[in-house]
Amino acid sequence: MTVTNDRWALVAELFDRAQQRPRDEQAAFLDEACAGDSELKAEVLALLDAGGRADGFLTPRGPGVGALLLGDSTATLQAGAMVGSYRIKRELGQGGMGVVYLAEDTRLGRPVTLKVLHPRDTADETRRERLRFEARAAAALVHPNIGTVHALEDLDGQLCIVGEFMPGRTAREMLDADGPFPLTEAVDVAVQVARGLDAAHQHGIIHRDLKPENILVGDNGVARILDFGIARAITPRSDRPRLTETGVTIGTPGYMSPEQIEGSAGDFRSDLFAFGTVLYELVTGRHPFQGATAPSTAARILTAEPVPLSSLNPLSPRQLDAVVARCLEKRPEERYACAADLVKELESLARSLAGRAATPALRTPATEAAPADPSARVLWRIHQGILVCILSGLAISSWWVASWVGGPFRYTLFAAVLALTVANGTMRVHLLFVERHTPAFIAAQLARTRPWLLRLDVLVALIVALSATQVLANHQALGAVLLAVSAAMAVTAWAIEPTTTDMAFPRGSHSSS
Amino acid sequence: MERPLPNPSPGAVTELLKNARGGNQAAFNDLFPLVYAELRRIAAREMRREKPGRTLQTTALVHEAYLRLLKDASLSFENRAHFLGIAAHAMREILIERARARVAQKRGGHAVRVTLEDMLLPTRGPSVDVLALDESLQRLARLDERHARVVELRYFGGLSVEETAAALDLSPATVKRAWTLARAWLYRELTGALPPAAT
Repeated sequence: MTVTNDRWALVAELFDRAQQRPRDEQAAFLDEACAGDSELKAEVLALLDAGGRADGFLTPRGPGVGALLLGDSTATLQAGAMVGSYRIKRELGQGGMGVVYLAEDTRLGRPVTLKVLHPRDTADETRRERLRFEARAAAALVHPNIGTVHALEDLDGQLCIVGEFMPGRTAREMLDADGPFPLTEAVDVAVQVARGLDAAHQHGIIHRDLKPENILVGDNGVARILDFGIARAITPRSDRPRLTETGVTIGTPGYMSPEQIEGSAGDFRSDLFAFGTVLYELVTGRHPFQGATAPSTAARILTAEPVPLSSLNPLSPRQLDAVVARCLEKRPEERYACAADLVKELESLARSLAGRAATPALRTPATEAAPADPSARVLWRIHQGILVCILSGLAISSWWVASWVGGPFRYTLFAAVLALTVANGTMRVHLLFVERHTPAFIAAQLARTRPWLLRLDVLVALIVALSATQVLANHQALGAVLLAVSAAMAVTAWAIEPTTTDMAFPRGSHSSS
Repeated sequence: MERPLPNPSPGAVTELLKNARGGNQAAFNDLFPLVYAELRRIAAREMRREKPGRTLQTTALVHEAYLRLLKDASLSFENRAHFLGIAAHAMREILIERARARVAQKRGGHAVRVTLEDMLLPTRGPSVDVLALDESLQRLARLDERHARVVELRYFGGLSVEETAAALDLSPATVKRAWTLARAWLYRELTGALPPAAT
């Protein structure tokens, strides 16, 4: 037996060395190496021949168990476990790249997300290096619509991305739980995502794996793009998407652009394509190119034209159709020239939706949004301030107005004007206060109060107008002033206030009905 | 192997795994039956659910066994890889056992051959008789244990080259070389396409 084993070692060595040579040199190499041992040479040649035909032999289909298990840390990180200086609290989710946990940074005492990357993605040093590079680039991106990367940590040999924690749900979770987004909310999220993309593209960073799973919608309404640049760092540049092997896909085939499917690395316009796919799904709850399998989805991305949005969601405006269609152009050069153009279109769409009556109810109260132009906030404050002054004036003068109107209803009139103006004014002072001191709640407060403010404004304007007609008979000048105030309040309520508010808090979602 | 095993505590399994990795043969001997029993139970359940066109994913089985046995373990990458090594061996035993059972069922008929496709384990290459593969692997193990182990992990465990390397404490390059040679050797053995080996 030992003889055979020694012989085997020799065969193995010659086999290896011959393997490394071009096929036509193998025989010559073996002639020399075997030094006349023709049996040995025949054996090695036979194995080389068998090896040449054994491609795929004994190779299981599908992903290896290790891909699941070695990369899967679910079983290993339970609540309370420490990873470096991070204490695991709970698992937030699992993705293609790893498992995400909610953890506490015990050094800084703040909650963070900890994404433990699959070891299979980070096993070799070149990939780790690229990942570090990309994480640095992503960490340099500071934008309200991009998930902040705090650090890339090497903890016990496992690479972890430490990121900011924001309570909320991913767009995927929202789609799964509640179905398609209400139109205003979909556009609102889309505007924010487009802003994030634009900021990243301006820094030369391309996401390459934008999908509903990578969009986090915070409980406060802020949408953030996650995993910036990471997807690319993990996907080897040379790897063509392997769509033919079940379960083995690099990137997410459903959100790949045609050029990525065809093997190109893609550029920022690939992100725009993915964006179009996501927006389509947010509005309709359906994937525009859904096929039964990954390859058929890929084929549809390459060739099929999606069903127009408006035929699936009758509320969807034509303008949105156009935006999505432009993003989903097969040829990159026919898409938007930059994400900034997309942002503009979506913002104008959001404004027209906000102005549109009877928009579908919001799923969540509208809340803090991306910061707007500061001058718009100043304008809004001035606007509110003037209204508070007018309302105070009306409240103070209500007694005299009531007595000038005279008649049996004067006390009722007095009480009504006083109550309405005080309520209205108080709400506005409250908004000013919130906006100044706890801006995080302003959007929610606006969403709650705006319908009421509108009604109160209209009521006050109506009552003042009615009083004015009575007063006009005796005091023409005063009557004219009251009529002017009433007209001003009406115009403000219908036209000016929606504009100043939307400019100051650009979401379009806290629209009054 | 038939005796019912008490539900092992995950902590105990973890301890065994760590010791087994440290080279403690007794720990390995204690651990293997646990992994084997768990895998066998899951496999039996999966096979009952057998449907046309459905394939048995060793991957999923091993994964589930791992989760069940090591619920709260905080294991290093190497320890997990080592678990895979043990699971791959257990998976091989289970498949062989199943193949034998099928052969026994079909006794009396001729050309009894249980392929991996029969075992719901499709591969990309030509179909292989499970029992013949097992015999060839045993012969290969006598020539070189390491080559046989690489095949076991790659094939029965479904591990990639890198994972196999981690499980066996070898470099990926070594595993790759061993895999190429072992596969060529087995291909020749099993397809009989070429004259018998001189070894």
